[in-house]
Amino acid sequence: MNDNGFIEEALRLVQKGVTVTFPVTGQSMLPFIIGGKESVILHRPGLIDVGDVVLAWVDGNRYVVHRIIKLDYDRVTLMGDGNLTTEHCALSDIKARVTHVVSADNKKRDLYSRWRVRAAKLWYWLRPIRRYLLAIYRRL
Amino acid sequence: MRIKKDFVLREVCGENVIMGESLKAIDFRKILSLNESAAWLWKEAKAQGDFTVESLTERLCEEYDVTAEEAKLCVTELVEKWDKEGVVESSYERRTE
Repeated sequence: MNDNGFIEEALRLVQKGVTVTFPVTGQSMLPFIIGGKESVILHRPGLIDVGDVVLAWVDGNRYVVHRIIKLDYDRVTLMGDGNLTTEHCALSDIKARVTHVVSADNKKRDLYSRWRVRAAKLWYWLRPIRRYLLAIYRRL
Repeated sequence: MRIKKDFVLREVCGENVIMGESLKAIDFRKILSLNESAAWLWKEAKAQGDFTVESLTERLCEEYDVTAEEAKLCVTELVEKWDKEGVVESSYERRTE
């Protein structure tokens, strides 16, 4: 399902103003999005900001659903919550904004509720020990 | 029965899938994938407009080398699946919209 063709089909619809629910794979957004189990709701990007989770074409070679950690004019830096490495793209490579996460049992949660925004900020500042926290999380 | 006007057959990554067009929200977890004969039947159903299991069975027998019983069983299962997934509607429902 996560072939580029399906992502591009989803993005074609997002561009038309359709709200798309799309399953995600991989563990790069742990602990905020559980790949393989959860899906994301995609909207047209509109105004984006640091802290937003977006679907972007990064480093000219792949699509990712990651969080924006820096905006410098046209240059965007992203990082997966479950990663320690960054990716880069232009503003025009931000193809969709993720607004909600949907669990396997169809429960929807807002990625930008006050406490989740705070948790995401805290998580960002915990980067020096993120590796250890993720290791603990994966064993839970 | 009729195929609902919002649903179209598209080829994505070499797969035949039913997509909801002009809907406000689409769930990619629920995309309906069709094999070659099911995709052929979808196109036939679309061309017929108001179709029945019998009308599709008849066309399937003309196109493929299958017995009438096999064809009817195949079409019935497929139309039931489409009905369950909500991509078709009865002609009566359409007239009373």
